[in-house]
This record gives sequence, structure tokens and C-alpha cells, in this order.
Amino acid sequence: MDNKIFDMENARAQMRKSLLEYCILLAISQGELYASDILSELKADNLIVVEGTLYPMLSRLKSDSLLEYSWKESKAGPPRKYYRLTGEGKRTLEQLTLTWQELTSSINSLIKKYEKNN
Amino acid sequence: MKKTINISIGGLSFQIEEEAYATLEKYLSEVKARFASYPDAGEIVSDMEDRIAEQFSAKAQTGRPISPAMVQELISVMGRPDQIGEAGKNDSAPNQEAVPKAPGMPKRLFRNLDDAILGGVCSGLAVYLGTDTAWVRLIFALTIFFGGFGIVLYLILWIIVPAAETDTEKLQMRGSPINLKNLEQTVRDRVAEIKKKDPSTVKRALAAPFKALGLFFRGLGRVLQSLLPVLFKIIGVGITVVAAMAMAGLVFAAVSLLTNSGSPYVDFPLKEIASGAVYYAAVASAFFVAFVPIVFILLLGTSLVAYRSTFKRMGSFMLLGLWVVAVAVFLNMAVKLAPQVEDLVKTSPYFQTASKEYALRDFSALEIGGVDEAVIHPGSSFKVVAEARQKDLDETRIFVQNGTLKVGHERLFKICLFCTRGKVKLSIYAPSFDRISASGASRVTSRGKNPPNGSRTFRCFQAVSFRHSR
Repeated sequence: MDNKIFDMENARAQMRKSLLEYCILLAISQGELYASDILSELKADNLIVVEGTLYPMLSRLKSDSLLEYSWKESKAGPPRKYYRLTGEGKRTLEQLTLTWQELTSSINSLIKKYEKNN
Repeated sequence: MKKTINISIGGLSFQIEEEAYATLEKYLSEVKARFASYPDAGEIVSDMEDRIAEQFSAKAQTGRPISPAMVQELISVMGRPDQIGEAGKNDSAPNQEAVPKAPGMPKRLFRNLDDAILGGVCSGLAVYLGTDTAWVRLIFALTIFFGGFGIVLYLILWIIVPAAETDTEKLQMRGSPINLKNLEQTVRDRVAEIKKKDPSTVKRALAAPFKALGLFFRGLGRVLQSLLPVLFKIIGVGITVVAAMAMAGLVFAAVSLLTNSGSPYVDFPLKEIASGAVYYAAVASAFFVAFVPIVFILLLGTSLVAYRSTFKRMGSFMLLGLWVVAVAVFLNMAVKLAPQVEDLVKTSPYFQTASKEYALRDFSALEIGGVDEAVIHPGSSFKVVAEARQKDLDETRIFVQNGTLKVGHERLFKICLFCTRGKVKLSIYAPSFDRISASGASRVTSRGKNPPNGSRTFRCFQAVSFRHSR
């Protein structure tokens, strides 16, 4: 079944998912954010479908010591966890950005060829 | 009218309809199970709860309780457990730890209560070994005809192997990875099991006595299990004390043997057999041959008291090695010394039987103790003959005091650890015996016409003293 029909929805989800960590790092690079800020940032750019996906990723980025957090008071309710990049996180983000730029340029040139031929 | 419940989530409190609460609770427990294998599972879930609280508080401002529709909406925003995180084909990171384990999770031995006749030991073993339960049961049943060690083994396993009670333990028992899918599967299996469980009446009748027996033993097992720690502690204290005392005695013995083998504590002519290095090697090796097992017994005792193993693997191996070396040395020494010991026992006047006549008279009573034996011959003239090993004869004191013949041992008032005391056989002739007193393990036999009822044997517990009528 899976082999016969190309699962478009799954392919898009996979594409988004593999970029999501990069996007989270990018979002947090602006400054200290708490989970809901990150979510609204990602949702605005239509990068995340279900919110629950964020949490295990945050947990992992933290255990890989790319992120760290501190508790801050909030006017609206209980204290919140504010995330920021660690030095390691900043370096990783630079590497990933470089990779992304290389990828986009090569993919863009592929797309141009494709458009020319059609 | 709808019932509402007050709940606290993410540090905020909400009113929620009962139905909505049930849905939310189910969702959260599924999420928890989804992340069960993650190192930060608790943190992930509590962060998600914070987010849920935030969304609720944004919507529940009107003062109305949270409705099932709101919970459904929340779930679609947050994502169903199978949509969240690493679900799907391309599982990514946090499963780093869980993924390699998944194909061959190590099985754990549990008692399988879902398929049990008594305690589920056989069925648990079968799951563990990956065979059919019937075979394991058959093997256990067959051991009844070969001494029944299977019964003992069964009881031991019943006590020490835990039962698979929770769904997680049931998955561990089968070596299946613990994830939501498998947990759901066990729940489904259980429901199916309950529905299916309607065996034929014949089968039920056959199983009934076993079931009853099982119920009885299960109750007994539970009682034993609660008593066991206490029992272990008592036994453990006993073993520890005895082992410690044995250790102290052994150390004392070894020291006295090594420092001064001719001391009053030892009466065997050890120095005549061996000297120098051979002697010390023999004593030291004998010491360790006895000492190491006592150390293990002591550890067993303390383990029982502490209710956990106090054995250390490294230490145990080292002690075992020491013991093996000591046994080897000891055997070597024994082979070397055996002919000399034999020779000594054969030739030394020390160990030869001798007899001695004592010129004692004018007594009409007998006092005897220790392990000595006396044969009295009333109605004859005075004569005392003693027969024993030379060494024992030398140490025996026979004398008359106030008309009483006393047989004593000079060692009685000395401390001697390694002294052997041989039996002294006495033949005592006298006109009459008014009083006979035999204490300890001594024995007096009367031969002659004079005492009542002819020949009699007196032991300490039978007749400590007897007055014989003329």
C-alpha cells in the first residue's frame, strides 16, 4: 500500500519535521522565549502542525545542551520557562544556517533547470 | 444539568465538565505513556500541561466550565499522542536510547498470573524461555518421581520471583518494548481474554482442585512473604553471631598454634612431627581452609539481616581464590605429614595403652567423673588397676580421701583447647561399696554377688549415688 501511493501528507510532515529543530533554534536565537512564544512564532510561518511536537524537541535540544532555560515570573499566571541558546547552540545554529544556504542554492538551481525544461 | 469537577493543571485551577475531564485525563495519560521512554518524560508532560492551562485560561474567561468540545479542540491543537514527536516512520532523536533497545529488549523473569495454576512460575518460565507452558509444567511434574526437587525449586521461585502485575511488567516479561502501542495491546488482550474465558465445564471441573490449591498456597505465600523478612533477620542474627564466634575461636587457635605449640592449650606433640616452614604452612593453610567458609557464612548472615546481598563480587572472588590456594597447600602438607603422624601414633609411648596398679586400700565409697569407666568387684580384697593410654594414665589422679576412692583428672582445672582425653578403664576390688557417685559421662558397672540385683550399670543420670545394703 505504502509503496504504491506516494503519501504526500507524510512527505510534507517529514520535510517540516526535519527542519523543525533548525527552526526552533532560529526562533530562540532572537532572545529569550517561552514555549508559547516559540509556538506562535512557528505557527505564524506555518512550520508546526500540532503543538505537542515542540515539547519533546525542546527536551532533546536541552539534553544535547544546545538550549538552556530559566524560570521567570509572569503577570498572567504561574512562572514560565524561558529558553535561550547556549554557546554550543549558537555554533550549531551557524553550522545549520550554512548548510541550509548551501541546500537552498543547490535546490534553487535544480528548480531553475526543471522550470527551463518544462 | 451537568456535573463539573475542579481540577488544577499547570498551577491554575479550572472547572471542567465530568465528561471533558475523562477525555482530558485519558489524553494526558496517553501522552505520558507516549513519552515513557524519554529521559525527561515528566518535564515534557508538565510543560505540556502548562500550555494546556494557558489555552484553557484564554478560553474559559467567560466563567463557564470547560466542555468536552473544548478538550477535543485542545487535543487537535496539541496533537494526538501518535502525531506528537517521533511517531511515524522516520523516528528521530530522543529515541536514541529507546530505539536500539526496542528489537531485543531483555526479558525479565516474572510469574505469569494470567496463565497460572498455582503461582504462575511454570508459565512465567515458559514465557522467559520462549517455550510452551505445557512442557515446563510437565518437567516440573516429572521431577516428583525423581526426588521432587522441582517442588522445592517451585516454592523457592514462587517466593523470590515477582509476579507480573502491571501492564509494564507484563511487557517486560515478554521482552516487548514499553510503548503506548504495546500497552494498548495488552489492554486489548486482557479484554479479549476476559471475553474468551469460558472454558468447557469438564475443563473447569479439572482445574477446580488446582485452583483451590492455588488459592490456598497463594494465601500461604502472602503470609510467608510478610513474615519472611522478620524470619530472615532472626536467622541472620543467629548465623552472624555463631560465625563471628567461630572466627574469634579460629583466630585464637591459629595464634596459639603459631606462637607456642607446646603451650598447655595443645597436648598433641605437634613439634615432633613438623617444624619450621612446614609447620607454619600447615597451620596457616588449615586456618584459611576453615576461615574462608566462615567469612561466607558471616556474609550470608549479614545479608539476611540487611535483607540484601552484602557480598561483593571482587572480594568474593579473592576469598575464593585464597581458599583454593589454602586447600591446595593444606592437602600438600597433609600428604607430606600423614606418614609421620601415623608413625608417631604407632610408636610414641604417648599413645600406647598401658596399665598400672595402685596400692590403695581402706575405702568403701567411689567417686568418679569425666569419661572414665569403672568396673567394681565387691566382696574381694582391695586392688585398683587402671588401664589407659600412657598419656591419660599420666594425667589421672587416683587417691583415697576419708574412706572414698576418688578418680580425677588433673586437666579438670586447666584450660586446654586441643587436648584429647582418652577413657581410663578402672577395675576396683574392695570388700564392699557403700556409696558410688558417678558424674559426667562416667560409668560404673558392678560385678559380683553382693550389690542388689546382681550385675548393674550406673550412669550419672540413673544413679548419682547409691547406698548398698549389707
